Amino acid sequence: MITMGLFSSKKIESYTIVIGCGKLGALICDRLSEKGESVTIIDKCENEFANIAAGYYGSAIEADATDIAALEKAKAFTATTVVCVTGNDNVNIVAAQLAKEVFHVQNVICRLYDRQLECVCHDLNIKTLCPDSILADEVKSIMEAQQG
Amino acid sequence: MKKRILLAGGYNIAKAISICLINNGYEVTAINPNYNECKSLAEIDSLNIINDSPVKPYVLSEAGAANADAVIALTENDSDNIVICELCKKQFNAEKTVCLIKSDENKDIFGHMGVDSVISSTNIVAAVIEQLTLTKEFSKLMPVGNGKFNVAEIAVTDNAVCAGKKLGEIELPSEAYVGCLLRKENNIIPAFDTVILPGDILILLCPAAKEQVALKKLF
Repeated sequence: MITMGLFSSKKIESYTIVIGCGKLGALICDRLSEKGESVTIIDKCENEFANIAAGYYGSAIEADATDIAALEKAKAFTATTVVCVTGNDNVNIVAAQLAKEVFHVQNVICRLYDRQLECVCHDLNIKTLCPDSILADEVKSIMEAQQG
Repeated sequence: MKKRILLAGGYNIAKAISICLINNGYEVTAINPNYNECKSLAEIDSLNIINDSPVKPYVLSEAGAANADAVIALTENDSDNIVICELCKKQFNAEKTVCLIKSDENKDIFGHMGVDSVISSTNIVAAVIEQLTLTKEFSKLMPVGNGKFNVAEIAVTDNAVCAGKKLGEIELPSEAYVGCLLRKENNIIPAFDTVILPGDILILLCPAAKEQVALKKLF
């Protein structure tokens, strides 16, 4: 008997790579892990993995994420999302560009402290998040809500 | 009008390049975050210096990245150099960007993202060291074409296989050829029937992987 499975589309497994295990990177990992998502965290110093909560059951790789071999080890070809949140804007940009251009990851998100660097990522369809811009917008919303 | 070159970061290389460029008539500006290094660079005549971080967009803007004929990124960090070049290309429309990187892998990838030329320092240095340690016959070796080709200076000894032979009789690998022959004080552009004599210095152009093969045919 032919099973119904023949014509059902294969659901792509969601898999996220987080680059940079500072406070933000660790928090993202914890949140994804709680939801049962498949995650790998990459940081060039394994001491940083201590930032992650005890319940984390994803993978951790100690490597330089601007090294293509490291991204291959993290199976970046199968990643659906790559999040670049190291403390260095330029490292984030390079890692994000490698994820897009070499590994063709669909969603690439990059934190940039310096708003002026955002232009470097725009034409590559990399989503950039600038903490200052986001917080400024949030402060504005709060003040508008208080006035209204 | 003089061509303008912007050097972002680096110290030893920046120093060497700026002297060379200024002597060749370029107007050069160097950006260096270290005050003492800037003081030392200031000893170079006609060099403009900015003591600030070369990775900050506003610094590059004020240094004239928009009007630069070339921006050369020379910091210690590959990532910083790549981003400096991309920024200068995409934001400031710099004419040409050149990036020094240590990791060989990323070389080809960033070529089409705003970095016009990538120089892998590790590659070039490794190629030179390899040749200098493995062959005593080469007295000088210069990689060109980003390490793909070498220009080598070879002294012909008395007992060399090629000594006394015509250049055309030597079966060099197909992409290798002797561009020039130095005999005593004279430069000779050799023809197929030029006889190679002991004491001659051959200037050999050869693909990077083929020097050993070429050497065997000559010696």
